[in-house]
Amino acid sequence: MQFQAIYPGSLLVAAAILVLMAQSFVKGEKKLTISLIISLIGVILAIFFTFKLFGVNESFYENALRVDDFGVFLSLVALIGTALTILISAGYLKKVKSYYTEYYALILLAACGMVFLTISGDLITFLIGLEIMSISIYILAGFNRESKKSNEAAMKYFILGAFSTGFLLFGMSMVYGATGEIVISEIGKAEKSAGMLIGLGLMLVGFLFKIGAVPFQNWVPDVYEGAPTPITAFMAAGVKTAGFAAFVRIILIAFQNCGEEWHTILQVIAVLSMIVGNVVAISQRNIKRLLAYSSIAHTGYMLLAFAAAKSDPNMASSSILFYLFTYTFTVIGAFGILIYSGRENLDDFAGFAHQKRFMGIAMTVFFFSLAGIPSTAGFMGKLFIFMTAIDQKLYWASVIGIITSMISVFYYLRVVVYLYMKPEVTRAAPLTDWNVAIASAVSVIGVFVLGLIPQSVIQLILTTYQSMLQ
Amino acid sequence: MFFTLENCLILSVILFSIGCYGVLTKRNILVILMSIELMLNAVNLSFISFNYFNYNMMNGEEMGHFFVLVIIAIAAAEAAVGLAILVALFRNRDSADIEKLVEMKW
Repeated sequence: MQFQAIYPGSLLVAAAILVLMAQSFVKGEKKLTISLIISLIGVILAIFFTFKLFGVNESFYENALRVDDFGVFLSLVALIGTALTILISAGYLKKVKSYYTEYYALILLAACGMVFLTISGDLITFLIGLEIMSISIYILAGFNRESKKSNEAAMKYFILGAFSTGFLLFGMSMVYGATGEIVISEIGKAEKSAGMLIGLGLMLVGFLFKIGAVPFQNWVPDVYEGAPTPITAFMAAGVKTAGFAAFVRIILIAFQNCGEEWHTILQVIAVLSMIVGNVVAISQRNIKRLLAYSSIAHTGYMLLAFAAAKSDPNMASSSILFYLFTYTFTVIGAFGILIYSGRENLDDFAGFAHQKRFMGIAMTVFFFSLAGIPSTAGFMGKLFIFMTAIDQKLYWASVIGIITSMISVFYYLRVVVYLYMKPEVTRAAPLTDWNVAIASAVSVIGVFVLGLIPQSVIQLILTTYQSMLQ
Repeated sequence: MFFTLENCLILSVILFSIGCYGVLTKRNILVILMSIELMLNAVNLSFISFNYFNYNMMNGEEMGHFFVLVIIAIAAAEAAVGLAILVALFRNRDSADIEKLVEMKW
């Protein structure tokens, strides 16, 4: 019975091993196709077995794994992100003519880390999941070994990631010292004490780094720009989802008795992230960098909902979950089109929509969704978040959030203006790549489904907080 | 008595701060990697001392020790990956100076 909890993770590892083994049997371009098929099958099977975990709501392996709807839903989001990343990676690897299939194996291992991170029940599982994910991503960020930018991105990410892990661990040791427990639900039963508060502060540093919130945001633009584009999408969607999963679970469950303290801190950080992300993004000409700053801003929106968790944790965690789901489709779709077109600079995109009509429409949809134009998923996500924040009387923070979100419309729409209204630059039209096209189509459908008929998803999400408490 | 929980924790905090200082000020990436290891070992010391002084190990409360074993394994994996990234970086630039990593800014 308890094996069902580790099926998704084990399947991903098995697929990773198969990918590594397959490269000794096939050569050249075939290697890429075979690895693509194996890893897609692995992820789809993992998605299937994760689906079956809905409604289980039990702890397994001496509380090491906590399988509840909250974790299962976020595993699902992370795995959907992984599947889309694998599809856009296929186009990327073909374009840069890289035949290293370890790439797919590392993506699958990172996905395994994410799955365990989202369903972690104690601090050890949490730590191991986090490190499996992070170490794979460090390597993937530096995957273009000949590129100086890629090296630099990997090094910066590694040093700062390891540094923040140090803080996270020191925080854990303080919590352990104060309570004598490492099971998350047991820590939550302890009284508030000095050790708990020091631990909370140190762990917040580690978490805020992983999700890229403001005082610790400096790595985000550099790493996003330097890493291979599909990995950037993976970081923006998957890593952020898994990071938020652990963040919400640990803060809401383990530190439920320290509510007043983190509530204020998160509010300030949310406001700063929204301002910094949206204002600095205006001056960016490189779209990868622009999306990096916009991802800081989106982290800010989610933290704003989180800051409202003091009196209504259910709505807060629900709106974060919904936002992560919408953001996964939007951001992977946007990066997918960057890969398809093979361009990064804003000026190169002039007239792109006339060259490739459908891709132009898809890119418009994704940037509308990022900006939060009604009928797209991004609008529903933002509506949910600001509703939660205003319900909890975070008026000032919400007003700043809405103003910065209006500022953001400027730089998102500028991209669309370049797509349609600037004279065409004479560049060869990109070659058609079906994998990226499929990923974009799925993302467009996801954006519209979540934007127009989100009721069933929202109903599912609204019960997740209760499942975490059971 | 010198060997108390307070003294062990103070030692651990001092080690952690030295590591932190090293990461923030040193220019050579190898030294930074060593400083990160120092921070992780400070964490190990604090876990061990909490477990040893506060909780009864005979009673099955030995989670702190397990945690230390996990951290040691993770530190090893991290060091391996960090050195590998450093080798790739060094081949491209012939330098392990962190202040020369200025390919991208703003």
